[in-house]
Amino acid sequence: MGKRKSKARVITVKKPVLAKKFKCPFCCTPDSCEVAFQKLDGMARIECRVCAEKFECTVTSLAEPVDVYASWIDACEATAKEGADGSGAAGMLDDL
Amino acid sequence: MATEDDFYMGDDGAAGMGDVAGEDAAMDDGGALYDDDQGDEGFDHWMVIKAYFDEKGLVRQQLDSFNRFISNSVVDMVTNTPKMSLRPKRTYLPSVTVFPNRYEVWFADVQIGRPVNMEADESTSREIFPAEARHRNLTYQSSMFTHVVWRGYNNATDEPVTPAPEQERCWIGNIPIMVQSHFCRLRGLSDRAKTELGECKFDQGGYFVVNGSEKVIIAQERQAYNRVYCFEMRQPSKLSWRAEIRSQTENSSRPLSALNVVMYRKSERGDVQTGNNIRVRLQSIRQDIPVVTVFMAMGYVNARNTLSHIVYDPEDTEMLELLRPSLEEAAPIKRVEDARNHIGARGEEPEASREERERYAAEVLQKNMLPHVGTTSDVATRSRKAYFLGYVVHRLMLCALGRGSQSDRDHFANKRLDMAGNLIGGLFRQLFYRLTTDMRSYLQKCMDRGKDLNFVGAIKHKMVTTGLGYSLATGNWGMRESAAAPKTGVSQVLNRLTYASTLSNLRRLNTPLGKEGKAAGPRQLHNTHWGMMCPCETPEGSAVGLVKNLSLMAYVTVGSSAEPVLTVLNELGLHHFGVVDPSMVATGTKVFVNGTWVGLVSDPQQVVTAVRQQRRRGGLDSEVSVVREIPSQEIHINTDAGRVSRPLYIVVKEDDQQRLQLSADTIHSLDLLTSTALGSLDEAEEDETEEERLEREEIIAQSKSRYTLLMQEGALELIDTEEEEGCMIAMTERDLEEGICSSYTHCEIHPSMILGICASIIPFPDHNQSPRNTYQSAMGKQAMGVYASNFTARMDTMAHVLYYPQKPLVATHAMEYMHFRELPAGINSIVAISTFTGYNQEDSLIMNQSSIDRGFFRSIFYRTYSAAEKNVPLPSADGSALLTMPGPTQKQWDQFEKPNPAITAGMGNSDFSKLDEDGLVEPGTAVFGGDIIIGKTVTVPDTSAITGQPPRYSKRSTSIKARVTEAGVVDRVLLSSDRDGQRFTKVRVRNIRYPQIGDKFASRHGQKGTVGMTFRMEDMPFTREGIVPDIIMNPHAVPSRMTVGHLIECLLGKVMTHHGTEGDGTPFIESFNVETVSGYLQQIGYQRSGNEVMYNGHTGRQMESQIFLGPVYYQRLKHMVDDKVHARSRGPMQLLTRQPMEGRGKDGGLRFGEMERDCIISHGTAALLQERMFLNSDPYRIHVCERCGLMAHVNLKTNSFGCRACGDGRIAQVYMPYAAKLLFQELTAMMIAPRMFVSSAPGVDDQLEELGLHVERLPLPPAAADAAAAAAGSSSSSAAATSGGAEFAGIAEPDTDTDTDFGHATDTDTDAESHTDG
Repeated sequence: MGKRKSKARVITVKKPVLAKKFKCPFCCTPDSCEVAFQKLDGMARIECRVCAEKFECTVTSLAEPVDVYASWIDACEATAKEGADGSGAAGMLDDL
Repeated sequence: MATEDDFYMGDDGAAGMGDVAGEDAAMDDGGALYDDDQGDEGFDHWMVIKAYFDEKGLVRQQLDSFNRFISNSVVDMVTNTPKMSLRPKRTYLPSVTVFPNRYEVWFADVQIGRPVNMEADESTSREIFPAEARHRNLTYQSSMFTHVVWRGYNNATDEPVTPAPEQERCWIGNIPIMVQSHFCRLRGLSDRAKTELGECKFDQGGYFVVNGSEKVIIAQERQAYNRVYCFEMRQPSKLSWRAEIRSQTENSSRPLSALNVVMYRKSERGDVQTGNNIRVRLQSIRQDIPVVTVFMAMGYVNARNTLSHIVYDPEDTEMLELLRPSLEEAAPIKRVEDARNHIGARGEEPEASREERERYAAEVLQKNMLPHVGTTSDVATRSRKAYFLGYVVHRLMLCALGRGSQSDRDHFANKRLDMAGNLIGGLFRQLFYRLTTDMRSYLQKCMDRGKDLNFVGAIKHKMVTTGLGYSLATGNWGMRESAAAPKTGVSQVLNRLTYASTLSNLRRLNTPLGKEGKAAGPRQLHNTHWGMMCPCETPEGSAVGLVKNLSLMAYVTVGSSAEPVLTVLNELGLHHFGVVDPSMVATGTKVFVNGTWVGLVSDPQQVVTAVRQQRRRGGLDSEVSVVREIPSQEIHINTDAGRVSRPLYIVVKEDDQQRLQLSADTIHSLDLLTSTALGSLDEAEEDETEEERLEREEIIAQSKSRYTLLMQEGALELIDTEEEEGCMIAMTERDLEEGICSSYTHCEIHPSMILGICASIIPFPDHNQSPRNTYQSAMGKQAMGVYASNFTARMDTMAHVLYYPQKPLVATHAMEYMHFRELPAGINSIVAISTFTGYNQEDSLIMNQSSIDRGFFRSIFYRTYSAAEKNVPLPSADGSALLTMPGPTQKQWDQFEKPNPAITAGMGNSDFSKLDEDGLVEPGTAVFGGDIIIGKTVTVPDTSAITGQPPRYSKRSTSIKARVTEAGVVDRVLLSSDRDGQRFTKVRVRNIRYPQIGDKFASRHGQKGTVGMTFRMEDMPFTREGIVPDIIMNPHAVPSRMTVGHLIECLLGKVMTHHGTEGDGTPFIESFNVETVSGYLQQIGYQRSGNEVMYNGHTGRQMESQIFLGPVYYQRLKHMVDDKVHARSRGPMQLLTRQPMEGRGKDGGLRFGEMERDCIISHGTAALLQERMFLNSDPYRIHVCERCGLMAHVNLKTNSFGCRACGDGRIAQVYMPYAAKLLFQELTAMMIAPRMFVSSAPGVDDQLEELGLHVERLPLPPAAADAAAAAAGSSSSSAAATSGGAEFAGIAEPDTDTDTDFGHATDTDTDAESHTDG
């Protein structure tokens, strides 16, 4: 029989999607933190399954896991800063 | 008096016409049959068309694009390269001192000279002309120089080291120069001078010469950037609509940045109802962002303010309502920072801090979103960007509300053509970028090591030179190393088969879509192709509609700056966004320049008129297009490159009377300046004074810029596809006079200009079925004629030239500009449409042998063979390392010579006798197929040091043979040196081809056929006048194909033979009438129908039916039997499989393929199958161990048999294709044991049973049973293994015992012996 035509492999560029699992800010394990939403209460909770560090915050209807994670990172940084200079929350960001 | 001009060619003015009319007064009556369509005031529009082509030629798009690239783009790219800042790296090693200075480096300018050639030894660099480049396989290129400027600053003090920057001139590479461009040495030379330089007088350039071969850059079609496209999404999809814009900043190397504004479909997700949410898809942001949030992130906190940027009319409740879900959706985000945080969190780095996220979002909005609007951070830019984003959303909502329709991707206004200049520019940008980065890293390295900085030495000119050369030579557009697969086929070898095919090649464009793409849209003829793309000329098959050809008068814009347009707009009172109140948008008209919304105007018509006036007067570039879209209240002004446009007459209205702007004065001056009127101004008179000379040159210059004159006079203007949509274009001047419409703005110059090069050769294409014109457009490229006036000087690999070409009896006006009369490709043949003997069935033709004997369609075929000595200078002179190779000081390695058979290996049985001592054949020598025409030897490495034996041969022949199937006479021999300074030769062999049975011919109407029979004149039918046809075509070729043009051509041709002039077959000439032609025919004394009574040549008796007879222009196509005939009984075999070779050139076999095999199987004729597929292909015999089933080790000479695998002695011989044996060995090599069990061998079934296989045996047919018995007999006495050989005479015996040794996994017996006989 004739040779079967070898089909050129199609290289599809995978569209980057929004992460749902995150690197833990405490134990640095990648993809260990997952977010659980409690939509009715407007609350979300993120927890690391490795070191069981957790964080809770209020969320809006637009929130995605990344937002919860971002809030956590911010909270961590604020705490760190507070510990460092005791000046409280981070200053307001520049307007436009 | 009405004239018969309508079907005579009017190119040589009224004088010629008068002569004809005077000679043949009888004609005048016939002429009165129809109206003179030119009228009293009318004039010859061909004068205008001629003016256009005299000035622009036919490859203007290529030349202009390249000129623009060299004169502007290169300089911009080099000088705008950002300053290189070099800082010494801190070092901690005590041995290395820190470099004392930091440096800034930049490029000051670019200088490009005329093409030069640097000889291989770099000793001389001298000017070259294209002809030399073609002959010597050189590249026609110029050197590029720049001044590298650098300034050092002291690390400690930051004081400049030198008072002024230092600079040095340096070579940054070579750039191929387009022939006949501004930078070509041929530019501006007279025809005579060009001829003396070995060029074709009619060559228009537009191509490059790279390594001696001519390369065209095919224009590439693409979607226009910076335009908003709205598409309804094909369901099922989350989205209902999508608005897309791909923005690119002018002259920037930034990659494209796409922005999508999408509308989500109404859906219920859980208990939340979402619907019609509008979100923005930003580049590098991983989730769609609600549009209001994007506005907020840009600083638009106030919802009302945001709304006013999107919905211009506050009363438009429908639209506001549609926006409501989007507003509500974004409600939770109330602050700018929150919005930025929201966007930034969806970026590439989720671990970023809030500050970083906000900064990232701001940067994305400023730099990556809509970069064409601006990338600066000022308020004005931000405001413009917000308005533009709002506009995109507005467009999307208009579509969603059903007030607007989807964008048409195939509309030509949405397309741009990347021409040679742009494409080379893109490549140059990449290469130059690499050059600078390499330079930088080299300098940095020098600095870090504390070495002196050599700024000039850091520049590797080869980067650009070889990079451009590689892409042009291979067509792979992109850098060789780059990861992305480069576009292929961008650069092609210029087709030189016939002049029209060359021109057509230079005006081709490609759509880089997958050829197997199913969408029909991009392939179809679009309304906007009118006048821009040829409706006929496109290939058949997979590329249909994707490969297009420019219409004759189509012009591709080269692009100009938008600055002048903006200045004009400012003068006209453009309201900028800074001062605009959002409410003005609803009432004002939006102005877009190259897709960027620049502001608003309150009186759109005044603006459009003013810009148009400026363009017509020359205040703005004539390429600029202005469109007013009244329904959407927009004005679009484009100045960018790659738009297709064409000139049209401007129509003015005076006292309700519409007329062309073209004035009588202009026509008069045009008339005076036409080259025919000027006569022989090219030649200087002997006693010419300086004043006279200047005056003469002035007139010549004027006569060459008649088209510019017309543009300046405001008679014509360029209209592009977008502007055309807003124009009312009259087809003819008569439409204006008759006032069919009262709002004409423009008038076509001539409708036949919609056709391209190849379709313009067809007479009466408007009378043919459309696909026939497409077929002819493809076939015209295969017709032989005179492809260039310098064909005797050229050394093309293959060329066909027709002996006695004729200009066609029925021509078209466009042929004049294509020089079809000067370089024709065909002969006016007397064609009868009759079956005659029947030897013209199925599209074959009967040809008159006597005509052939008199030279009818005789042609020459040239083939050029070339060879070069390849002497690589050896690195070490002492020769110790390279003992086996003679050094350059020793005997020459590669050499042209007549090989001495005593010391030369590999001479075979070829005929070397025709060679001279220098290894070349003398011109005039007749050579036959297989003769050696270039003698070349290579010195064989001296192995005596290794083997201790003196070598038998000191040289090996690497001579070039003439093609086995092609005989001829050596025509021309060229001996020169190539790019590397090696001796180099080209030998051209000529061969005369007489038409014979099987050669292919075609008329100009897609009517092709091969010669089925030739009859001598006395056997052909003849008319009462004694006319004997040259060709007899079968009548069945006509009815279903409806090539009426063919018949009309014949009819008009017949009239023209009596007039001695050319007939006019130009399409769309309203006054043309077949009735009239018939009338003339009758007056001459023929039948109106063109039929004639004919007499059979064999018998002399009158034929029963009358025959349609007359002259038709026929073409000889390049497909000739002599190049195709092929038969073989025995011949060369392939080395690996021992099956017959493939292909005529290698005297290969004729493939007995899968389908043929299927036939034989279905017939049940197994013996035939075996004969075809085994005995006549690769029969072979192996020996198999009966016990283990593997190939055994057998040596028939010593009568030793044995199985190496199991040690058994029972061996069977098995016949099988060599390919099968090869497969088994390859399987063995892959650790798979293919075991062959011989059925007659005792105990086979038991063995199989042992292996877990149960065999159910069918009773053998009697013949097979006999064979099996015989085989069993032979195997039982294994020593008699050869006995079976008698049955298969011609089966290859293994030469030695190693042959069946399956220790060789793959076939290694490569002793180069082709098995010519079994």
